[in-house]
Amino acid sequence: MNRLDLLEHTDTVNEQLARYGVKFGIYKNNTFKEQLFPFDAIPRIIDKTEFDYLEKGLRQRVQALNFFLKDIYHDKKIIRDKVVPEEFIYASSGYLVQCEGIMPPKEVYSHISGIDLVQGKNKEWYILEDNLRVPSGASYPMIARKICRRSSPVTFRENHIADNRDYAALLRKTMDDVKVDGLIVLLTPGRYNAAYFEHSYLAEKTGVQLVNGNELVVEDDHLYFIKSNGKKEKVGAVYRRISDEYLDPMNFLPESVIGIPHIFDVYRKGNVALMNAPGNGIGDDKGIYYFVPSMIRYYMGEEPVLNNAPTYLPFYEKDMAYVLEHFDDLVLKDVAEAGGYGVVFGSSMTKAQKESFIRLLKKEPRRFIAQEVIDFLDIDIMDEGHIVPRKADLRAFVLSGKETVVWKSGLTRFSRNPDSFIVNSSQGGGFKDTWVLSQ
Amino acid sequence: MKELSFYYMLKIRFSSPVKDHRFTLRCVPCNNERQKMKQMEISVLPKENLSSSTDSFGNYCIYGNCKSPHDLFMAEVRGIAQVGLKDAEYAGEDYRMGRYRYQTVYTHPGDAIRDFHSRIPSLKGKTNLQKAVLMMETLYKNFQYVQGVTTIHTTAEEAMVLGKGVCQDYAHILISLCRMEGIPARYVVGMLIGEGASHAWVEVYDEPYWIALDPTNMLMVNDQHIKISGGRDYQDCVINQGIMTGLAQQKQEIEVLVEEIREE
Repeated sequence: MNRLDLLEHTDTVNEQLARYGVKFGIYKNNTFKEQLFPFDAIPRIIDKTEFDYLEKGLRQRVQALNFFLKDIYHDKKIIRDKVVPEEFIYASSGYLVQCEGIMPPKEVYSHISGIDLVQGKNKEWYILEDNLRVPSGASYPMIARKICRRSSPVTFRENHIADNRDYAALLRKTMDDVKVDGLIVLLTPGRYNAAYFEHSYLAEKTGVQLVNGNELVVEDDHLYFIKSNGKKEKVGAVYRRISDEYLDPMNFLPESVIGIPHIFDVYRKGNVALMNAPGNGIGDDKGIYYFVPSMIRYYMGEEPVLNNAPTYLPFYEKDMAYVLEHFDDLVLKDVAEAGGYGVVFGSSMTKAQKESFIRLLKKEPRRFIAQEVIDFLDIDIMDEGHIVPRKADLRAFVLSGKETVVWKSGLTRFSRNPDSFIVNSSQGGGFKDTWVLSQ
Repeated sequence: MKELSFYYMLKIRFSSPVKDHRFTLRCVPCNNERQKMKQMEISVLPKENLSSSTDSFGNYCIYGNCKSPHDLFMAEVRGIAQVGLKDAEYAGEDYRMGRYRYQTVYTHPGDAIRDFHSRIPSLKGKTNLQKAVLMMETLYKNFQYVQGVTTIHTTAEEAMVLGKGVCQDYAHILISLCRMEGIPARYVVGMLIGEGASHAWVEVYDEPYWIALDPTNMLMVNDQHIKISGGRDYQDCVINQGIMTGLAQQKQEIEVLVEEIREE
């Protein structure tokens, strides 16, 4: 496979990315810093057969999660049938009581799902987590691919790589599928958000209006966009990139200044589509993750195609005993945290830390999950001219409108630190293009 | 069954005009198996862009946006309610009650409530309702009704530490105790004969019904209360929420009058 030409262009690609403003903002010690999201030119390559398998598993998983969200906020059959214990729903901050009984347009909850996977040394893929609220990251491989194609056309002529430039079209179709009569807008919290680059890029590529909260207003049970000339236009769908809590100060956090008062009342009446639907946090809760395979069996009557990483719930006595016995082999995750925070490795704790952690674990068993540390299949990256192996994951993007489709690409993030397993961009990792081979 | 005439008024005066005033009001009595509104008249001032909706607890909400400058905001609801039509409101099966079974920020027990709970006489083998009544009686005997010592932000635990408070505090503490027993319980806002302000009480789940208890007055709710709204705690039943533009002091006034209509 000819990838040499592309590697020679690594610097050009990174320069271009910087010029495009491909940045990732992070908050550290209360100050906002924008940093480049380093690109590594060696692509991750997934062959067709393997991707077909991933695609099947991802579609199945996202469909089951959509059924679950609809069930939790309506019939609650999965609780009645004791497949998921109710405390995992109602004691979770991801469950939003405000969403009870509200049916989103076309019954779709998770329009854009970012499913994180890793591949083990045994070549097995494992689901690490589901992101059903506002998953970000699709714009990075989109723009990296575009620049790579330009810098090294020969690479893309000689290899049979599925074209990933269709993400914008897929996203736009998802929006069109679920929208109520009116304009489509992309709602951003503003340019100081970590993913602002992505917001503006996706708005441009899908041809929808990029807006701030103060450009939207609720009147007479409808949502309107206020144009610069003062005229108003009805809005039918909001691809919102702000979290549920900040969406509407009249229905969620009263102190939110970036939200739109009463937008949730308009949504409740079915007069606007919100993408993703509010309340999805209960679907990607780390505690609920444990139950996704049972959910697939329960709602779809099928065996899960893709497996979870082996996970234990200290909530169950049997699992607690296992966790205490194998503490050093496990990674422990606080179900309330995200972005690589609240993750600790049993083996890296001192004796005192371990003791205090175990006390906490026994006091609040529902708060944690424990997972086997997966022996990752390392992938190559370029580090100052040398090829070195690093840990990496893959965020697959699954779009659900009338149908559920998987984007033939994804965001491969890697850890730059050879000893680290944590690849989140908010923790300073880099990214790669993900090639899905078309034959 | 009784017929009660009621009047609810909320008046907010602003020291200087405010505008873009977005509000949600939960001040309209609901219809259910226990009570029916025979007549009702609602008025909101300024009368601009009014809409209504029903929230996830089934509470009727009036919402809107007064764009033009105003220094007075007022809502009035008056009517005639038939109350005590039935002893209980139908709730549904137990598996659907989860959202009322778990503690919230307002009801989360601390040492004081846990200690109080441990001193309640034996609850074993009793029904949800029997347990709730026993807890209500114990609370009533050990908690003092005093105005002005707690605020709308006071949690059940904080009130329990003080040992005194108002109807909101009685309700939050009883809800906290019920939930410690795994009993779904909800917070209710409404009006009561003889009270000049809104009142709060509790509904306890006794499958498949909601049974209403008034811990402040230690009685089973029958035909003296008119229910307005319900939720997991005070926060879900806030009567008036507002966001506006302008620098102004606001002064809120509430008036409630409930009287029995007697046959002449």
